[in-house]
Amino acid sequence: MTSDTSPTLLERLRAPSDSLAWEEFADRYWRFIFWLARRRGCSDHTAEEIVQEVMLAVFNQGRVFRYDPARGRFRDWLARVVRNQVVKRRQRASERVQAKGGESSDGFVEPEAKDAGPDEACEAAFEEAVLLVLMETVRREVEPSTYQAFELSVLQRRSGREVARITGLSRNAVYKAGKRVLERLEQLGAPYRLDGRLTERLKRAIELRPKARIERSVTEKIENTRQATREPPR
Amino acid sequence: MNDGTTMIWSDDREPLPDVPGFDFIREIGQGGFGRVWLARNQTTRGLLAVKVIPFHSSGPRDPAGREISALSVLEEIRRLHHPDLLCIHHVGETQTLDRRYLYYTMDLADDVSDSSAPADLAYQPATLKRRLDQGPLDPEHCLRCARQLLGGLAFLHEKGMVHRDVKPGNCLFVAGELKLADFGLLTRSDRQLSRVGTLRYMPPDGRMDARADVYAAGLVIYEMMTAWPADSFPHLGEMAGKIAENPILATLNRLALRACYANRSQRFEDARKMLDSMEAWIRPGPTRRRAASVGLAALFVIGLGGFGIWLSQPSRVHVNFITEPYGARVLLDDKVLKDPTTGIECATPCSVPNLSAKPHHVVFQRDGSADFDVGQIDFATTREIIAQMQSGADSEEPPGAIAAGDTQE
Repeated sequence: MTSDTSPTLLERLRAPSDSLAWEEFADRYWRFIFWLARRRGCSDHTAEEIVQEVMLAVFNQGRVFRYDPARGRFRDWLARVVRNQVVKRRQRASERVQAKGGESSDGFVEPEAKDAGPDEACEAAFEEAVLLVLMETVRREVEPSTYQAFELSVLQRRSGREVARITGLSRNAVYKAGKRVLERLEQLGAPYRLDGRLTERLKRAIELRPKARIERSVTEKIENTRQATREPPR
Repeated sequence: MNDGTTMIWSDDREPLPDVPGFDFIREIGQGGFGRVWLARNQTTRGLLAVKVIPFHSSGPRDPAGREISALSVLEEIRRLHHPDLLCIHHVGETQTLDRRYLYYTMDLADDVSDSSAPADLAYQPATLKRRLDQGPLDPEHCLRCARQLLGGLAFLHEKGMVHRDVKPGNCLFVAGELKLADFGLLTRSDRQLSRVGTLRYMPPDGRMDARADVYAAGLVIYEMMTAWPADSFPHLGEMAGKIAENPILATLNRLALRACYANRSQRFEDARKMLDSMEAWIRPGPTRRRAASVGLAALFVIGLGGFGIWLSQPSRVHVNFITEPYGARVLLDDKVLKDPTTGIECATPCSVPNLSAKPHHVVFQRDGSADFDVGQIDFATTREIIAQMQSGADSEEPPGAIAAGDTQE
């Protein structure tokens, strides 16, 4: 995965009055932040809190934030922000444990991974986020039944008959939908120079997708932040 | 209606409005630019919900002015008391200090933790949104809620109105029954329909008419079935297995997919059409189903014959080879089929152009499965060969193959 963060998106992020830029940023990056936090040993709950904290930090900096490519990639900067938040939490947890005189893994499910370096963790999490964004892009391009048929037949390997029953499409239409969406994903994914089979990677990204409860909760918070920044009419 | 968790009020120091005849107990929600309070009637001691919206200006875009316009439209049907719409009792204006407010009283929703309406401080109104935070609804409950949502919406559409803000936060449970609420954006469908509502429930075309309500209702039904947020539609995740096994959920999924077509002309025209389709799909009559099967078989035979004549035996044809599972080699007359341009062996599913339009012996071979001999297939009349391969424990149905004519999506 070598592609850089979309300059168009960053361009739009510099315009804080454009609420869409914030939403688009949140939509594209929250899962990346979540996965980074999880890869650093956080529980689902803690990772969700870190998403909220980081989103808020980025949102508050958005009005003055200027991205200079010479300073490095945007996602590396974001990864540093996440790492700092995780480190702060670990320190707080450790202080609480020392104060109590016992052992606790408060908010964390495992110690920070030693084998995968931070760069690898960042790259892996970013790839998963990019794959979901690719799928999201195609989802918006095709009718919902076409996209659902793709997920069920190609990624979940369900039989054509079963997918036809769930979606109301014919078996032939199910086959064509899977093929069409996969071709489009291959086309969109080409600049990312993904190694190995795209379907396997997409499948993995789908499997790693945060649980429905977390998706509900985070998208709700993003929506509330967006609403809270809206000025009432005078 | 927002559940009032994080959204901020434009001015938190705004005084508590004085609504004659009611004691405000506490705030229970926020919606648009108004607040909703749990209140007690000073005379009867009964509990109600009271929504209060401050007037900001006298312009047409003022939230209170817009709400008055919506409530005036609702007035035409209010006395009909449709069971699937939240009951609004009284609308009025009040003044506190130098600020004018619009208020209206309405039925109080159940407590989220209990089905009865309570007075204690832990009370939180039972919205569908809060209910879904606990997970998806069970299939029967899902169907009942879909009926009630579409019933209320169909009534509005039949009266020439559009709701324009259908979402789980605006579906309340009163005595366990779902009621469509928050009529702040209600308008007549023959008026100019501006693009208002909640972004994630708006259709891509942005036209906020009855088909937009249908679109939003489709998303709400999707959320009821899966508990995924509307933004995730149509992702089913781990719910796919449950939906595949349950005919009610499978029907509701098809309903939601049809309601949420990006192409508005393919959506249901209004909620009545959507509700009628749902009822027909849930309980298709046995006679009707049999008639449909006979009709389809007849059409297939006629179609096959027709295609045979129409195609007039072309010399080269394009054929789709599909197996379940995928990944099988194709043997044509005992030779492995290769892509004519790359020379690489074809693996199913594959679409191979430029094959000779004559009978060929077709066999599928796949590692871990028994070879599947489809037999002699005449490519002059067959454009698609679908085979179910026996793959050990994975197989859920006996092997079989279908050779079909040139069917189109």
